[in-house]
Amino acid sequence: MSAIVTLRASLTFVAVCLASSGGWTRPAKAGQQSQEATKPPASQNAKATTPSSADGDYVGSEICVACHEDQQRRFKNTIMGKIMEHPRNPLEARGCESCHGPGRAHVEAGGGKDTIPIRFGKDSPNSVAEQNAACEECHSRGTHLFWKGSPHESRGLACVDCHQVKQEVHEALSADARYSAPLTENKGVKKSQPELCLQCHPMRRAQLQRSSHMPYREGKVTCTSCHNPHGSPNPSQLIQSSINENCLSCHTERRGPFLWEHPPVLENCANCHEPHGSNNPQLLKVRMPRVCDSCHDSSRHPTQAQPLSSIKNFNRGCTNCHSYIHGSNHPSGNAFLR
Amino acid sequence: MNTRHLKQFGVFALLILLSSPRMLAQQDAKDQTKDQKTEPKKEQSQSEQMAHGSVEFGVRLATGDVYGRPDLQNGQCLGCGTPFDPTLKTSKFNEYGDVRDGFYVPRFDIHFDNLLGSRNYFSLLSQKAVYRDQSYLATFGQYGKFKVQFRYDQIPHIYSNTTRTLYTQTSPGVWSFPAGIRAELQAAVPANLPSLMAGTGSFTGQGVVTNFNFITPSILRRAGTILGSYDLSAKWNLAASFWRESQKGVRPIGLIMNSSPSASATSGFGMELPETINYYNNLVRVGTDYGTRAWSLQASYVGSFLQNNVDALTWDNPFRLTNETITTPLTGRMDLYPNNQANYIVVAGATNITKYARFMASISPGWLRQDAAFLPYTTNTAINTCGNGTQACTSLSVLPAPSLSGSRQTLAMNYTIASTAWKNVELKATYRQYDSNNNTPTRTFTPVEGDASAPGPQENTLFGFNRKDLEASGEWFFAKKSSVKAGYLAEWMDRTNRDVAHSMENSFFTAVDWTPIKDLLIRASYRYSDRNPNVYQDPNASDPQTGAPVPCTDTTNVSFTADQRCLRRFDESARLRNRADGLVEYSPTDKLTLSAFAGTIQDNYNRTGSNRPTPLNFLTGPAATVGPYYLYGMLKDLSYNYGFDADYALSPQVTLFAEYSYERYHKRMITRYRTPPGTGQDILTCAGCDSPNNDWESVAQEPVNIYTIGTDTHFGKRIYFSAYYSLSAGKGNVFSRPLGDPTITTGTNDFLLTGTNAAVNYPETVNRSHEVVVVFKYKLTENLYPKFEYRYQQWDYKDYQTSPMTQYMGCVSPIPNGPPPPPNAVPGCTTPILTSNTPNPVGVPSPYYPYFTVGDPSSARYLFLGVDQPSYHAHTFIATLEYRF
Repeated sequence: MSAIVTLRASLTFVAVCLASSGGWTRPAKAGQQSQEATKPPASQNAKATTPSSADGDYVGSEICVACHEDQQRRFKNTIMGKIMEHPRNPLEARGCESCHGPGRAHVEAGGGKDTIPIRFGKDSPNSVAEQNAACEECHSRGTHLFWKGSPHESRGLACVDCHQVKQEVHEALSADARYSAPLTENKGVKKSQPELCLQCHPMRRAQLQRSSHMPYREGKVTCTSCHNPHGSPNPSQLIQSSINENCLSCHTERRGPFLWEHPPVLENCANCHEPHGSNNPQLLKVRMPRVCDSCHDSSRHPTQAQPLSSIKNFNRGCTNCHSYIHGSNHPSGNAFLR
Repeated sequence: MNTRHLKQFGVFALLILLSSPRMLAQQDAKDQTKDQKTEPKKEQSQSEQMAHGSVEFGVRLATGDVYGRPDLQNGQCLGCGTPFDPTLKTSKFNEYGDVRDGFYVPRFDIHFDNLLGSRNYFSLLSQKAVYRDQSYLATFGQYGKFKVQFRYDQIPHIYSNTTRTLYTQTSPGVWSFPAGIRAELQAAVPANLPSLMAGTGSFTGQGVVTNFNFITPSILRRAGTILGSYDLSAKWNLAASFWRESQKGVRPIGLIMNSSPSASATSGFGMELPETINYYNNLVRVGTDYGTRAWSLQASYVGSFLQNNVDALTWDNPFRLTNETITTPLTGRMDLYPNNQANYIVVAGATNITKYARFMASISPGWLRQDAAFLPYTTNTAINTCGNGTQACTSLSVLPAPSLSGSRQTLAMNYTIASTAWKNVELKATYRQYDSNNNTPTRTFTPVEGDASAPGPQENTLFGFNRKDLEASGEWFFAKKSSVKAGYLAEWMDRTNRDVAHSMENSFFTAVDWTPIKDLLIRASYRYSDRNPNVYQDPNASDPQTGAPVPCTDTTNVSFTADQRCLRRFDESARLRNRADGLVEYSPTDKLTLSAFAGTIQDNYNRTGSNRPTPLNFLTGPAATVGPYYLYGMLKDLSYNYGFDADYALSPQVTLFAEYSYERYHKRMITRYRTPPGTGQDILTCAGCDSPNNDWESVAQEPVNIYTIGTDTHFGKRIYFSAYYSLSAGKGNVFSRPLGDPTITTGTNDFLLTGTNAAVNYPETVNRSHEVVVVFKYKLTENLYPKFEYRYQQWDYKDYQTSPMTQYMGCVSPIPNGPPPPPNAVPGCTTPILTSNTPNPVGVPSPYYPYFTVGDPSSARYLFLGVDQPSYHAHTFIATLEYRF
């Protein structure tokens, strides 16, 4: 298929969709608790999930702080708190109510959790979709563009399952004892990576213990080095368009194009490698020569089982000789020997 | 004062400087103190205490031992002359780290808001300052407005600490071997080479290996990133970044000077070298994104440029100094990875197309280019069969082009519609396409393999593929945190110049998330996939006379095909995949959380369809040694895992945790031992050349058990204690066995899997990693937190592929029960070398690796680096003081 033709057709399709959506001319009103693109509310407290409210229902953060000074003290030190100190739009100017919804009913009732329109966390009466919708009011672009329909969204993860909004979370003491993590400004997650992700992906924790691994335990790469947990259009929520593009973003020397190419390498690094860790050398799924034997049964090599005495077996196996197995640009590199 | 001390002094001075910001924060501190006085019962949040950051500094000491290589212990270095004790600091313990003794700054974190009365902030974070694994992150900006950020990160990577070589790098990428030794080796009688190399027998005390020097192959990545981000409004952002990474060092690479190291008894030289690495990676990213709740759009350009400063590796043939012939080159030359560039445009958007539906799309075309100048075919002046068949292969002029003009275009497209048209139901449809077109010119070359063999003209092959996925799924949210999902995925794969031109995979999947009670979550998912190629035809499974393809089903063609007919490559062939995962989380009380998980992926390639419709087994019925198989290559690829986690809070101050997981990998393949028939023969007239009686099976199995147990404990508000122990215990086995009838010793079906061709098991590999960590932290004052940390790490590693490695060898044989050699010792290593006995009897174990014989089969000449990562145990003590200001 011609890539250009496909690209043109795609652009046309996108343009038609965008034009028909009215989205270009119908931006959401700031501060409105839109139900668009959110799951329908579950049968929860109807009062607490009123989708839109008149401006008169907002009381302002000053009123909230009168009773919730402690929360305010913590919140003001977070990035969100600091942004809202100097709001850029009416939504941010609403402070507490930009996330929790209008507070008049809460104030008039003299407090009480049941009168808070949107509450977050495990004990919230709001559905996950309702909680997330409050976050999406601001966080719907950039890395969150593909949140809708993403694996984490469809498995019912709430933003607050991973993120802590009310206060900055500093590195837990116990994190000193487990894994390191790359430096990050983002202190709004409940735990440092990778611990945060490993809570739900326990097998990855096991794989990271393997002897052959990327510098993951050492805190040089982490889950979000390759994956976007907020959703991506790519397989396995990868940041790049394909597995190979992801791997080659660091291993650029293996990108080519080469004069002599090894087709399974070209298609998918994971044909031979297990990126999350392996007990075989070079993150191989199975050690040499078997990883090569799986596909190669040719007349140029003896095709016996390669007793241990063979140079095809010990040291680096097949790559003792075929060292540029990822592709060669040498005019004599047709067998990846050069 | 040496450099190290200078660095430490620098860090100390930096800390003094860093402490000065406290003065800036003095007013805040006073305010805080006042608050504490006025509200003594109100617990101060940690975030407030760290409003301006922290510095942790102290001392570190690591001690331990590297073991498992008795041959390399100090004073026991048999045959290597120079006593050597592999050090802990260059062992696997430090593979990606830099654990050294002395002053240590694990981290600092400084943050200033409202700089000089403005709304700007500045933050500086660091980890492991000054050491080779250091990283820094500095940010200046205004929240919600702009940000300028600089990141610097170093990643060391040590490959081995048992490496020795006589090669020295005389200029970048040029490795020389001492001429005197080359002359000596060239003059030696082949039978004397093992003794001459090892310094045994009549050459005691004068072995070549004796002179080898120890090196530590390693690379260091240094990466700096500068990023600028500006928010035009809350909805609109502009961002640009530049990342530049330097990779420098050496890593082991294997090279041969022939088409095979065992091509003949007089040639087939091979050597392992330190490959010179000197790369620069450059990445430019410029983009913008605009988003409202209803629609978002983003566009960016990404450019990635690799610059390799050493484009070739040149080395001496250690076994030859003069008299170059076609099969005995004096030097070799390798083309290292060429400069390349990739440019991508990424456009993505999302919009609500109706009240209940959202459309998301991304389109990313990419252009990959590579046009580095070619090297000549060889450095071997004796070869003159290039170009038109009579031209010198050392000349650039005989190449069909000066460079590749390599060009590949990619196109990634994704379109998704997610809809919530009905209450509690979400529907989703996705179309995804990835296209990779190779637009590189096709040319005919006359390669010289290994600088010593010129098999004839060959044309480069252009591979490409196009993958299309269409997915539709529906999910019903039947209760809070409970849903049922079902869907279908179709994947079409089109390939250029591979065995399968077109295949399709149909997948059905379902998932259930169920929260029957508040504290119980049950998750389960299952996926069934069936991949079928339209036709599977390996282009190398063709009649050598006519070139006509020989299909798997053909039972009449008696030609010996280059590839085994019915060989199937697992990434293209028919496959049935079953995948299931489950997770249960239960928190019966606030104190206890239990979770258990299990999963399996089962790939079955042993099917009919595009394979053979009837079994390929030679022995059938009661005599069958294995179940029916319909292809050669991978038959099964299975993995299983299960485990559990438990967290129990004995009290608000004491938490215990335990984790266990088990994994098992199982891969099974079947292939055939084949040898080309002699001239005028075919597979029916040659004894056992291509007979199913020489089929053999191999199974690779890896069980891994992982245990962790620990506690997090707070004693009052001042003392924190954490301790845990973990063990990751893995084993690896490769079992192999013949499937035919060994009693047939003549004729077409002659059983040949005997002697050095026998299909035998490989020795078990062992991989056990223990870790004990104890952390004790004390809150001395509001600002001072002394901490003591102890780590014990032990890694036991035994791998038949690397543990026996020494600098000169041609074979390895295990001696399962130790000396004397049992009758079932694997044959093939009949001329042991580097033994402590003279003369060298067959089967005497190598001092380098007990129960193994290291030998020279007299047909290969290979100088290795001896790359291994021996076992170690290490104690690390860290005492630090964290100062929060």
